[in-house]
Amino acid sequence: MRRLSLILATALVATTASPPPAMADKKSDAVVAGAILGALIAGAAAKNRDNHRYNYATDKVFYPADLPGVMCYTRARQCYFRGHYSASATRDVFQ
Amino acid sequence: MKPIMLRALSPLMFAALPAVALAEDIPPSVTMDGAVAVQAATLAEGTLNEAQVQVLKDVAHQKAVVLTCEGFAIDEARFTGVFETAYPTDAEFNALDEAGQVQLRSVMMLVLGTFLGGDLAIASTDAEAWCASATAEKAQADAPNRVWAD
Repeated sequence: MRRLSLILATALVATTASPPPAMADKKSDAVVAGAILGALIAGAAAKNRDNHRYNYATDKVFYPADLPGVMCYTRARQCYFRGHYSASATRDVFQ
Repeated sequence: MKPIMLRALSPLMFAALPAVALAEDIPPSVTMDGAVAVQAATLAEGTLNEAQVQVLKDVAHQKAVVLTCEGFAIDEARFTGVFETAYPTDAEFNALDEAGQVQLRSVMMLVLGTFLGGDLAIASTDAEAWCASATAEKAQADAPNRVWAD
């Protein structure tokens, strides 16, 4: 099943990936569908719990002097270049 | 500046630039990205750690760029390598019972899809700026979790 997970992820992301293989049977489909619904329901239940990491309205922003156009958030540990997420700036500043 | 220097100076940056963003200073695209990340992190809670979520965010962002901008493509070999870093090892995965394996797979797909949908929505608000930013990002050849083809 681990291999199947990688295939599914590839199907979602890679442009040229083959369609994911059919599930073994309808029971497997139901198990996966149930798990997805379960995760969604659990996520909804967790909505009101503390999860402030990405709440930028209450975070502290700073502007790295040597990275023009980059703004970073202290608690979220995320950086943006000209208003758009930057993996490289995030890595350079926080890792 | 080299990344190693940035890492060393980061604490000083925090101290030297203690700005608290005013609401009007936050670009809408950043606010949207944060809102999506909150929900993705909530979905991942209890199943994925922050490092795994970060990998999925990076991958989804790059895929959204591929779908939105000309001149970008996914390198499947790189994708597999990056995705593997967010995934448990064979031994760890096999140690999970079937329900745990399905849960892990489902949550990873949900989180990846949440980030991807959010990124596509953000990109649609200003595709030109989005793609310009992505082009600058692509120039950083050593960017983490890179799945773009050269």
